Amino acid sequence: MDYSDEELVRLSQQGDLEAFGRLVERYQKKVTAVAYGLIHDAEEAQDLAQESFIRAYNAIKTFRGTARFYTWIYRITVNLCMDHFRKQAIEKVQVSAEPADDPDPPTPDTVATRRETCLAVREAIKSLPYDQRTVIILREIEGLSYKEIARVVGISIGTVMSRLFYARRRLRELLKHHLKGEGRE
Amino acid sequence: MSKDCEAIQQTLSLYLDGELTGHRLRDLQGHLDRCQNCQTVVQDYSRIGQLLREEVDLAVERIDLVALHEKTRERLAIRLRRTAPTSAGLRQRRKAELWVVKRARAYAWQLTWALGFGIAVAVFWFGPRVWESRDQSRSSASGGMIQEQLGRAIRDTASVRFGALQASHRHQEQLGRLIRDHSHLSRTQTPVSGGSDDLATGEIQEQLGLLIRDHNRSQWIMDQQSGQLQEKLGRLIQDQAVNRSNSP
Repeated sequence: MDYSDEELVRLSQQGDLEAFGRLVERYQKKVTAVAYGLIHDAEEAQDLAQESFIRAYNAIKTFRGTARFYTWIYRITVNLCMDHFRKQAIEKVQVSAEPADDPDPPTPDTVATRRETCLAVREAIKSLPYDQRTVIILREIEGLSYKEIARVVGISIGTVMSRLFYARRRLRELLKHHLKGEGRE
Repeated sequence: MSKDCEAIQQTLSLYLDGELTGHRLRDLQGHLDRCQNCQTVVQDYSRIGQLLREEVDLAVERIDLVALHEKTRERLAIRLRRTAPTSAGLRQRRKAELWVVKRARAYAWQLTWALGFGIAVAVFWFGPRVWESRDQSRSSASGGMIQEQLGRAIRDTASVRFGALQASHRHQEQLGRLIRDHSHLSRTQTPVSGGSDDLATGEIQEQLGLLIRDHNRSQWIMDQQSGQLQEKLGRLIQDQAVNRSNSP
C-alpha cells in the first residue's frame, strides 16, 4: 500500500520506524542531491543526508504538518549543510577555482568536454556564496517554487528572486566558455 | 545591451521559472521576439540549470542509495535502541516509576505526621507559656498601679512629716523665746518692782501653756495623719505582696 507523506509522518510520530523508513526511501535521493549540490562532496553528502533523516526522526513529533514533509526535510538538510560549510570555511581557505576564466577553450572531444564542463560547473557552483547556492540548487535540482524555497530557507520571496538572479548571472559569467562551446557552436 | 535589456535582466530569471503572468509575461515575450541578446541569456540560464542537474545527477547516481538507506536505518535503529526502552527495560522503568511513586506517598504521609506532631507539641509546650505571659503582663499592670499608689502615699506621709516638723520647729522657737524672756525677767526681778514683773511672768507662762497646747494638738493631728497614711501604706504593701505571690 502506498501511503501519503502525511500518513507516513503521522505513523512515524507514533513511533513507527517502518513508516519513517518509507519516508527515508522516498526522499533519500533528493536529500542527497541537495546535500551534494551544496557541498559537492559525495561522501559528505551521504553523511549529511543520513544526519538529516536522523534529526528529522528525532524531531518528528514537533512537525505540525503546516508545511510539506519535503520542505521540512530540505530545511533540515540546508541548515546542516550550512553548518558543514561554515566549519569547512574555518578549517581551510577555500580555493576558488574558476575554470570559466581559463583562457583555453574546451577540447573538441565530447567526453572530455563533458567531463570538463562538469568540473567547471562544480567549481562555479562552489564559488557562489552559500545563500545564492542554496536557492539555485533548490530551484534547479529540486524544482521547488519560489514560495517553497522561501519557506525552506526562511527568507522572503523577493529575496529568493534576487538571489536566483544574481546566482544565474554569476554562473553565466563563470561558465561562458562552456556555454558557448556547447550551446552555440 | 540596450537599456530595455538591462531593465529586464531580473525578469528573465522569473520568466524562465514560470513566475511571470499577465501583461508582464506578454511584454517580455514581445521583447524576446525582437531581442536576440535576451534570448541568448534565457537559453544560457536554462542551460546552466541543465548542467547543474546533470552534474548533481551524475554524482548521486554513483552513490549506492540502497546501502545509504540501510546505513540510515541502522543509525536510526541504534539511536532508537539508545533512547527507546526494550520491553524488559520498559518493565524495569515502570517498576522504578512505581517505586518512586510509593516512596513519594510514604514520604508525604511521614511529612504529614511529623507536621501534626510538631503542631501538637507547639500547642502543648508554648500554649501555657503564652497564657502565663499574658497573665504576667496583666498583673504587672496592676502591680504598677499599686506601686504608683504606694509612691503617692509615701510622698503624702513625707509631706505630713515635713509639715509637722516645721510646726514643731516653730513651736520650739517660740518656746525658746519665751524661756529666754522668762529667765531675763527672773534675773532682773527686784522686791520693789514685784507687781509688774509678776504680771509679765504670768503672761509668759500663759503663752507658754498655749504654745504647749498648740504643739500637742499639732502633734496629735500629725500622729493621726501619719497613722492613716501608714495604714494605707501597709494596705498597699500587702496588695503588692499578694500580687507578687500570684505572679510566677
